[in-house]
Amino acid sequence: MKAKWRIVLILVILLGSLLILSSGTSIPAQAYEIRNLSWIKIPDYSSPDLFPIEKTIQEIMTRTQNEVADTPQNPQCLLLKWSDYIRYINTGMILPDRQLDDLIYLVTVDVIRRPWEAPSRSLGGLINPEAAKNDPALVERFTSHQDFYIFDAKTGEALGFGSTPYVMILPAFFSCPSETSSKP
Amino acid sequence: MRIHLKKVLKVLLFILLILIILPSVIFAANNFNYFGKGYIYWNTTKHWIGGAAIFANPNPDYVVQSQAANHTLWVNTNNTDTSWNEVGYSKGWYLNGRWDTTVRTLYYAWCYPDGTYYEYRSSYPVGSPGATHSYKIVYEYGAWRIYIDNTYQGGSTQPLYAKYIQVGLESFYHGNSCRVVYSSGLQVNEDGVWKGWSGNLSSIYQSPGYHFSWVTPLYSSNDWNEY
Repeated sequence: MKAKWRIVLILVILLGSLLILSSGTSIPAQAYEIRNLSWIKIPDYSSPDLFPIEKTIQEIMTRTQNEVADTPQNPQCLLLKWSDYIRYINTGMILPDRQLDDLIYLVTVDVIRRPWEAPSRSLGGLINPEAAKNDPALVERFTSHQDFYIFDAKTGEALGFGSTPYVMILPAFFSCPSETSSKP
Repeated sequence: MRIHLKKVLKVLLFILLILIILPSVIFAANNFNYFGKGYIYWNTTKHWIGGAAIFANPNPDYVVQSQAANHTLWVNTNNTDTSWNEVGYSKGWYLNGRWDTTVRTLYYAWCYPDGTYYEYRSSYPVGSPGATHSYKIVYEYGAWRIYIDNTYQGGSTQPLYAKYIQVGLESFYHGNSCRVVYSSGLQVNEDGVWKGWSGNLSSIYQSPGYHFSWVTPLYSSNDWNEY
């Protein structure tokens, strides 16, 4: 009987540990802003000779799942021009080294990334992610809630990526496959 | 029966230890970035509006085992260390939708005060190993503008001023064997005047295994990872 209780105790500890590990961290997610951009009117630029982005989106989802404790969800994609991107998305950006009429895919994935889960991006040189882990202010400052990627719509080349502390809701883009593009 | 229970307990304890220790080891090995870099900063506000450096592409080119490694100029904004612009050389980038550690590219990026981070691949030719590029970030016409070899790349509207200007190696995987890279021509722009780093507060930051050293103090330097 005593041994059975020990097993029960071990199982409880085991399950508890699993729950903690699967959550990735004990720090709760901060509240985040939702930026509803579904009102943006982007002309339909789609054409048969554009790069098929669906497989790329699936690869992004898989990669993201492997990088973070949170579960990536709600992939969105939008076909637009650089000029649209600067006007509506990265509004603080001045002109890029690209032709403003070039078409790009903007792909977003909703996922919580904490400072130590951002291996493919910079924290600016002065921020040590390991130290940030113990600093709630830095955790809040550098926890993002949406990843984004920019692809050349003709070649599929990745032109940029990043993350935002808020979540953008993009206008529906009908060319995205239904299984990877759940729209609000 | 008692022997079996003990065995079961031992196995469960072993599994528990593995489940706790292994993720920690993997996490520690993979999920931090590492620096060998030098920087200047001020304690009493200075009107720094730009930074510049010349970097040689890694030569011979090295192998990035995981993630990326970059040699970068950072110019912070908004009088803080938490927002910035950056430009440099990167080994590692997306190719055909997947992260490819063999890709060599120049890039530029910034992080806004709200925490939004944007990184872009430059269309400027990266050049061969050993080729040098001049990198410059300067506040002009109401925005921070980024240049490679005096060719405009992009820029962001962020508040003045730069409190920190940094150069050096950043790696996202400790085992990336980044050999020595030489940087020179370190400059700061104060109130529209370019001048050397000398005379300002300076420091070096090195993660274990990563190095930064001055060749000519506050003018030229080396950075590398010994692994």
